[in-house]
Amino acid sequence: MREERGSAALLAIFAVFVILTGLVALNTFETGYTRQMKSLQQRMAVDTTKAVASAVEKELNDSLGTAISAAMFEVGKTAGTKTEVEERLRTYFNQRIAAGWSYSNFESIVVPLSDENSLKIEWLPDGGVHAYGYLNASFTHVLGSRAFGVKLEAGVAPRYGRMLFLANLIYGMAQRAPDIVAFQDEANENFSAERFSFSIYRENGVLKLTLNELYGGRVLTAED
Amino acid sequence: MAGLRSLRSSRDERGVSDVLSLAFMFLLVILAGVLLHSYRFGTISSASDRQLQLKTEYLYRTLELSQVENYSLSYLGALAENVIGVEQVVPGDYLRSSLGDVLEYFSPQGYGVMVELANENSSWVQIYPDDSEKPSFETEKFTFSGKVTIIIAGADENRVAQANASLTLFEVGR
Repeated sequence: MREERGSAALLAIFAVFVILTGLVALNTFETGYTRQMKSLQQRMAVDTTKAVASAVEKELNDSLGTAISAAMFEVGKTAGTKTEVEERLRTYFNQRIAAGWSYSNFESIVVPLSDENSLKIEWLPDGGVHAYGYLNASFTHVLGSRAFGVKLEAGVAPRYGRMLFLANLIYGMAQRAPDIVAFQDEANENFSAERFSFSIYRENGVLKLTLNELYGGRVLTAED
Repeated sequence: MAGLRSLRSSRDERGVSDVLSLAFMFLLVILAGVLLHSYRFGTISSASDRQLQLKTEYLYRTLELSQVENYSLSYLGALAENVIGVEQVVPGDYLRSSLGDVLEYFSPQGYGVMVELANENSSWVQIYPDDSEKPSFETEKFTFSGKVTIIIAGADENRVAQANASLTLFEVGR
């Protein structure tokens, strides 16, 4: 009988020991688990912040590209100057920035409007445009991770500077040309290597000239 | 021999409580093991979720950067042109077929991909595999979204046109 009581006591002590050890183990596991989960959540937040910052950067650069194209197209219709192109593209680009961003799980996404210091516009020797710069943007995730800065870089195919120069040159020559059709053919032949195409015509007695740049297209076509 | 015999007999006498002790110990060990494993699996599951979320973000990035064959225009750019309704460089049918090939190539095994773009009343939804339906609310899915902007030349108003884009990775066949 003494032996049996001894076993019961042993079991009781063992049970208490196991419960205490279990509680310690549970606490340890739980702490470790929570730490790992928090670490993973933090890493996911960092990944998402980086991905969103990267997506905003790409989208802004694409917008800048379309802003340049739109500005060139609109100013080009009246053979406007390079300065006008620059002004318009800055306005259009800032309109996009002003529209803002909304992402769930983000406390704030702040992108400042661009100016002459943060967005530089360079006219290249071939008449194209290269726009580049840096916006002091900030992205703050609700879990605290943050990303800073947006690099701007965009260039578009149409060589506006060259087109403007040629348009003015050919228009001046066309005004003195006795036969406009023959002059148009000659101009197309002379500038075919640069992939420029001229269309010269009279509309209501007014001489008009349209210049297209075939390299500016966004479709690849096989060369004949 | 006598000593051994007495030991054995004394053990035999307290066999029930010994068995009970052993049974409880066994049960506790099993419970502890299950608990430990449940914690481990929880962490592994979260790590797996993180990888899938990353994959979703990479897929979105791929569509942002890669260009439709024969066109110098990204997939998201081409989709946005179709959805916004400006002059389309890439024909819709060709774009759908080409995008389907890209999604087939990049989607992980056992997962489907859904690409959605929407602008006001117009939208583009494409799902790979083709026979899949939109993932239900209960389906485990990972989404990354963004915007595609086109600045429209000559537009009097709404010059800055935006399409909301989202890419969703979801489990199929479960």
